[in-house]
Amino acid sequence: MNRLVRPARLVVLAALAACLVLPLAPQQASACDVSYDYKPQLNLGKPNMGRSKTCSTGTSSVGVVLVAIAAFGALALAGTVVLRRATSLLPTPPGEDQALTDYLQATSLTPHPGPH
Amino acid sequence: MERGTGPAIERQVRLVAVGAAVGLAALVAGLAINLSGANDPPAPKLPTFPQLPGKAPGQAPGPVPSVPQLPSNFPTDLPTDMPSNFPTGVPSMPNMPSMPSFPSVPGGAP
Amino acid sequence: MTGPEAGELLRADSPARDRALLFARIAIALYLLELLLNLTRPHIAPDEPTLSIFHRLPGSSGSFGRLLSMPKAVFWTVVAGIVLGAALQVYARITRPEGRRDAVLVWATVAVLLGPFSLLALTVVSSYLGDALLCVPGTVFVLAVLHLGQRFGRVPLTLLLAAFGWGALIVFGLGRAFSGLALGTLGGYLLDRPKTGGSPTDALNALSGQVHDQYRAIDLLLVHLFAVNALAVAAGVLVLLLLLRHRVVDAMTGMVLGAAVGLGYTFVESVLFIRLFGSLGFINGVTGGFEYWIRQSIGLLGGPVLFGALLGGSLALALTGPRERRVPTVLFGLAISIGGSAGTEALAGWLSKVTHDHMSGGGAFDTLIVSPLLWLLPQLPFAAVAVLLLVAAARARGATARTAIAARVVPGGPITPVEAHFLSDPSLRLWTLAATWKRHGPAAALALYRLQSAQYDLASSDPQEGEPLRAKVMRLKASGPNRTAVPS
Repeated sequence: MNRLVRPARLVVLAALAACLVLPLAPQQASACDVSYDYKPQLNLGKPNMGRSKTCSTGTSSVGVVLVAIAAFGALALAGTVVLRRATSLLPTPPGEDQALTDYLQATSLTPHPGPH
Repeated sequence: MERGTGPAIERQVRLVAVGAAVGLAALVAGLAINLSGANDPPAPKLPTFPQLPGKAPGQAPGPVPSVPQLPSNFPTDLPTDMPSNFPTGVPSMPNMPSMPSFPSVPGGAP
Repeated sequence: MTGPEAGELLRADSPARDRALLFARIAIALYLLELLLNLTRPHIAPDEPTLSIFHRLPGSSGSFGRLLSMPKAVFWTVVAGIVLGAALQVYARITRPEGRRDAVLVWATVAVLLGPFSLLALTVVSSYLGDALLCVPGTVFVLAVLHLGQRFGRVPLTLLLAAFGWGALIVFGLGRAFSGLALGTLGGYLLDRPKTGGSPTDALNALSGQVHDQYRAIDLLLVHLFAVNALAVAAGVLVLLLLLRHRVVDAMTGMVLGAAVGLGYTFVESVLFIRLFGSLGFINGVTGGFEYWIRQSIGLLGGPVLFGALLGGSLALALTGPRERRVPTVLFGLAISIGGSAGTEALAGWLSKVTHDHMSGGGAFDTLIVSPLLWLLPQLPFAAVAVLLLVAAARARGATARTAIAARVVPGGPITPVEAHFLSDPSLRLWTLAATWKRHGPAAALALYRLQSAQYDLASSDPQEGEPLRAKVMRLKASGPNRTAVPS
């Protein structure tokens, strides 16, 4: 299970680093319109109606990839945490393997051991 | 359908009530902002026409302010009098804010 | 549809079926009301058509023109649907069919009455198939999480997909059809007649006044749209909840169904936004990719999905809670959905305007951080309520699961005591799947997953109704050793 935790940490750190780098670059904040109630702001006097850049597809794609990685990473992390909690709940003297064997026999998915 | 156990359901209903209060507050705030015009963009800065009484409308003497350039990739298959977001069932609104019809536009316009 | 769901649909006594017919009738009645209001609106221009949706816009061609002419097609198809629905009802009254035939007739009437509204969504998706395909991965991911994330008392996959389809086809269609008519009506009442003559300054003043009136009309139209959407979502979730009434139903069921309906709506609306806002980039600095990023990536769980989930949860609480709290809880749910959607929309737009410093936008910081933040910030309180509600509902469901599983324990039967211990704890259950995969491979893990799902379905079903589910579990157990073929 430790194999999952280290890459998960790396992913989180990379995302945090990316988030920190962007605000440090000198940018002018504003916001691209998203929805119905964003009323378009126009300045007919300026060239290009005052819009210098669009919220481009390329940059947005970077965001999409980051979110996808974060989503899968979060799922993997959650799964790891749950499994770790489960192993702590299992009775230790018989061990995990024995607990699994007992369970699978109860489900009849494995044939019961014959009298060898 | 089984009726749920008392305290657990009560707590959830109370949570929903809190959410409803937040929803109503958001609605009131949104309506206040919108209907008071706080969300309206400032009027497009148009070149000012000199006001000359006695002249017929549409005859601007003197130096004529140049028509601002609209970008060349103006999509030609969009209807010109439509608010930018409801493609379905849109009646004719007299003019889209971004393309006001000037009384006269010397110098040409796209 | 197989198994218990098919039986549910064709049952003799079905509150779900009766409600569905009632909702379809109400929807048609409200559509006729919108038509009436549109017909009686004051006309601005001298040559306006009787119904504003019949207006032919100049210069519209291609896919856009197809979209614009849809409301007219919807109108005629709705009329045809009303006639056909009335005919079906008359036929039912004359022949008085029983049982299965009556059920089929009722569902056919519902389909005929509400089907025309799905034309809008189908047109959008088929016109912009590429954009629609782009939206598929994110949507499928959320659907998978909704389906696989439940164990005890889960919504059957068919009903989850039905919820998605309801949101995509009917909620979207009803909202757009009603709003198209409402836009004309509001425009008739709010806009002034264009004055002819006067000086250029007068004309400019009249123009800016007209612009403000247009914006007012759009603001009111948005509240109307969200109200129609919320009612449509509520109707769909209610019918689905009633279809599940012989199983465990709690707030989590409602939230899952509501989220699925919202997801369907978001899917179609995203296609529209990607295409439309994307082509208006020279006005508002938006590209198609940006809309995809906002609506199908970082904001996928926001907006309609969030408010749909909250509305669905409230409806489930209304159905399963005390009878005297039923109406207030439903009203709470509608208040959250309508108020939240309209309010967050307006607040986000206002926040964007406030940050429009010198009207320059774009850039990585804006695209990736500021714009999504301003869009999602007003939704944060609602997201908090949703998370709290989900946690409370999950906890309640866990307690119900433990009692239900314990009640079904029969040594040597479908759920043995050893299995009950593992099934009652979600983390232990996940561990069994992971450990089986590790030891015996994916095929064995899949067989185990199927068995556990059948056991959960059995435990969450009505004691009287459980026979086919019980048989299914025993069948899976009997075929187990042959299928997995594991070394002992």
